Amino acid sequence: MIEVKDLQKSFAVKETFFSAFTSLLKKKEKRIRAVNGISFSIHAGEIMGVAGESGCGKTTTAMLLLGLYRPSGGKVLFEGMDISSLKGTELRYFRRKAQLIFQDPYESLNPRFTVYRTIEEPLIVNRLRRKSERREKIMKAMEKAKLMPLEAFCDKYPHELSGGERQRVCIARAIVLEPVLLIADEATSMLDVSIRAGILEIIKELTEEMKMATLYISHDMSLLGSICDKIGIMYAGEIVEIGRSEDIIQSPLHPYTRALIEAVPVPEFRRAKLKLKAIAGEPPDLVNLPRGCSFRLRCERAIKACRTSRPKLFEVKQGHFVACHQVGD
Amino acid sequence: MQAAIENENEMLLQVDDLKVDYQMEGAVGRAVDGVSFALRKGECIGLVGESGSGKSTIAKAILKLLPSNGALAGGRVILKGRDISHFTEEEMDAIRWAEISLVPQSAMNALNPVQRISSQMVETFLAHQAKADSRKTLLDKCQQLFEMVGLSRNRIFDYPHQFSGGMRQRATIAMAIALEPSVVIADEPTTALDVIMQAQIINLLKSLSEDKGVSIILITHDISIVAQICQRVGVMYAGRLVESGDILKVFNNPFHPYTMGLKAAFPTIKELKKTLISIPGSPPLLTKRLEGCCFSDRCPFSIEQCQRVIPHTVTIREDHYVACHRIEYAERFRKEIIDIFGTRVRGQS
Amino acid sequence: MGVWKRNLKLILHNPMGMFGVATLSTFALLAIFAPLIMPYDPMKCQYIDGELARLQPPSMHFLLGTTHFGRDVLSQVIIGSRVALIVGSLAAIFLTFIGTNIGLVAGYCGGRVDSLLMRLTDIAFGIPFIPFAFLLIALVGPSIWNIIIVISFLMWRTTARVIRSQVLSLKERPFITAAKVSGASHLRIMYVHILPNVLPMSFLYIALGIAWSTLSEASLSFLGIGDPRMISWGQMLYYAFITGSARTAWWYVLPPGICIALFVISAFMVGQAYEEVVNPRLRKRNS
Repeated sequence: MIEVKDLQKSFAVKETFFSAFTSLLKKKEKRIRAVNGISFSIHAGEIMGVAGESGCGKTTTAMLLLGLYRPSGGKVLFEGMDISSLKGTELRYFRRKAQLIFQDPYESLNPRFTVYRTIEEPLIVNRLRRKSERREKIMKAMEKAKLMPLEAFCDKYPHELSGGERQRVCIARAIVLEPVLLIADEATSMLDVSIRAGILEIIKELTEEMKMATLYISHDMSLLGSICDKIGIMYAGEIVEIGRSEDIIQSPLHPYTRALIEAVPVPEFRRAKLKLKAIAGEPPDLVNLPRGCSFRLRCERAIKACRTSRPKLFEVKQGHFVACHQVGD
Repeated sequence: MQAAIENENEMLLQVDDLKVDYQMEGAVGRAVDGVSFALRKGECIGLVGESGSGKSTIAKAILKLLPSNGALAGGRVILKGRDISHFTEEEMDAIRWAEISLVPQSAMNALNPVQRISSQMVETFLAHQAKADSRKTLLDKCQQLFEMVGLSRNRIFDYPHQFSGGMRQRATIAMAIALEPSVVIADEPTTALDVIMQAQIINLLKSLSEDKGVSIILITHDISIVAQICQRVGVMYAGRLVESGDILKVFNNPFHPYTMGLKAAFPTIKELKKTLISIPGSPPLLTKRLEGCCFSDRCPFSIEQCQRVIPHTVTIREDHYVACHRIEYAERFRKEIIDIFGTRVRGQS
Repeated sequence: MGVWKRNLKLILHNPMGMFGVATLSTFALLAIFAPLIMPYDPMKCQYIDGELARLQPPSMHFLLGTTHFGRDVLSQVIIGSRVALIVGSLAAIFLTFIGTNIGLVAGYCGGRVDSLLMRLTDIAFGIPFIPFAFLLIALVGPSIWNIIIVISFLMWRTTARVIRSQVLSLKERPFITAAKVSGASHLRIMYVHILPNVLPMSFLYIALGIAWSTLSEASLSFLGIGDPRMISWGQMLYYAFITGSARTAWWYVLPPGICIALFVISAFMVGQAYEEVVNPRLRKRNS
């Protein structure tokens, strides 16, 4: 349903007085390579998870998928159309069909709009003129997002709602246009633990019911493992491993995937505490990416080949891809 | 609460029936309502709870760093036998950093952005130590601290913005342990960090507690972090301590429905098909005067008595305390809560 | 809307706001019912026993005395509130309208549009008000409308800067991204999504604008370029000054002076009280 092919995005580095001076001497523009040639596809009714540290390009990928950034290379295919070439009615159609749920449910709601008005806005923007028709759609969306009882919520302002309720308003706003692509960017990380599962359940149910292709972005592997059908691991703007979530969590192949999983604290209670495995170092500078594998500086098992050539994704088994020189040979 | 009456000698810090009020647009909100716990020497105790449960307010109350609209409304804070809850600002200055220090959630706010970290650390030493060590020996001490928290010696001359989030948090930890305080309060020390950085900081705190014997109060919403570091735990809800005690007893056999819920709400990477639960509703407003149990509105097992009478804290067994009217049914509740609130996040597969 | 009712309540809760609202309302009532309240026609020369009642001190007959031309001071002060009110409110509304729109467009569009509009604002800041007003009035002639135009033409600058800075932070908030994702146009984002969020700040600048513009009108009239067909407090002072009465007839100078001060201070006080509504951080400190 949605397909990403060799997608790239780089940003020009903001020039300060001094850096402008030095770049004059070097005559080379500095660019942050946020997303560096990634490919994947999400089918209808499927949730794909994207994991990685902050700055790995997760959110940039989301913005590219929504058409809010123009890709520097590669393309995003939506129902077979390249979204960066869309214009007029086609663009309008795409905008309606690709929606987003944010991390912070308070910041993502207009404080001056009531719940009803918030969910109505996308319909007005997309020229649904008849009031009764709008009302019907809003009620249906609120029901799906479990904002019950409907009447109690309609006239409330965001500051009168709890975090979980706000996030359900965001979900209702996102699904009122019956999207085909839904992106959830850390949608539960700011919510209290006791209500997180409820929000995840709604996202899961709606994905199946409305046959959406959902992209769930998070750095929490245990969360991704529990809701996603497949998971892609991103490091320094590249996908280093991608596959069915059971495969990724239970038999990770890339050393970085392993590091991400081993770093997750487990709620198991014992007297003698085990030390968590935490790899040292930090993600590389996206302006000057190291040659070869971008993970090699933090990798315990780096060999000579890792320094010279950049590993490509290859299929280890059905639907499980990894980009590492150490795997498979 | 009974923990407070145990052997007084080995108790480092005792918080006894602490109450904190906030003035909120005309109304009074009780953010902390009669919380008691004790910290033994070399121990790490976790305070877990959701946002607004009052766990950070406890930290601020202990250090007397409450905002201007907050005030201590009762209770005592006993540090090594002295009640510090009514100390003056000057007396507290001598205690902060030297006796009790704080690792805040946002390391960037704790560090001065226009000063080198070296000079910030040296200043801290100079402010507290009367004996005038030379700046050079102090700097050397600071560098040793930097090595202890896993940063390289030379990075001490950097400015805070040259550090990544994880390194900044290490630097604030180095500053927190600089004066060898008896108690370190870590307030959500890993919330702003990624998984890998979080694991590094957890390991650091763990080694400080196990190898260096630092006593830690860890405030977090994440029970899996508590599981990694703490020996004892207090579960907070709406300003009250609903269950506390030895971590194995509390979490392996929880008696309070909220603790059961919290435990079942966390996904775990070891068990992808675990049924997660979600408790509908939200905590009561701070300004609402509670007649009965603070969890009764959301509790599926609540009976008429729960709405009406505040439950006393009772001792279930050694080092396990619960405030619930219906502890005798705990066994049954543990099974039922999953049936009642379980979601189908992970399909039915 | 509930929000506005609540805001008014908060303003009235504050003693300063209460005082400001009460004084401004009194002036408004005076202005509206001036013909009914005024004891005499303010332009008509009064006679006592067939003789011009020139510079009479306050008495039972003329409560606040008379002017150099034998006109009743009280009646002039009452009718003067009309000019203060008209100039104050209209100029304030115009300047806030201009300032808000410029700030909104500059902040939202950014880039060249922002640079252009902000340089324009800088220029407006650089122009000294009184000489500029003299020049313009000299060109177009003194009338109350021209004064309103001169004031709103220059005073939008502060509002524009403040609104722009608000818009700059608002446009980065996720709910604006949400509006973009839903397909809203730039114009719609600016006026439907962002504007309602900066309106409280705009209203604050209306309150402050009332104070500035009334004060500006008074200065211009005092310098003799006010509307000659209308009586304003500034103009009363102007005549008191040029006829030389200011030295002897305190009753001629004090009433308009006090009215200007009271009016301006009240408007500022309403602004101050309203600022606490807009900026809750100030509210906490006071309670």
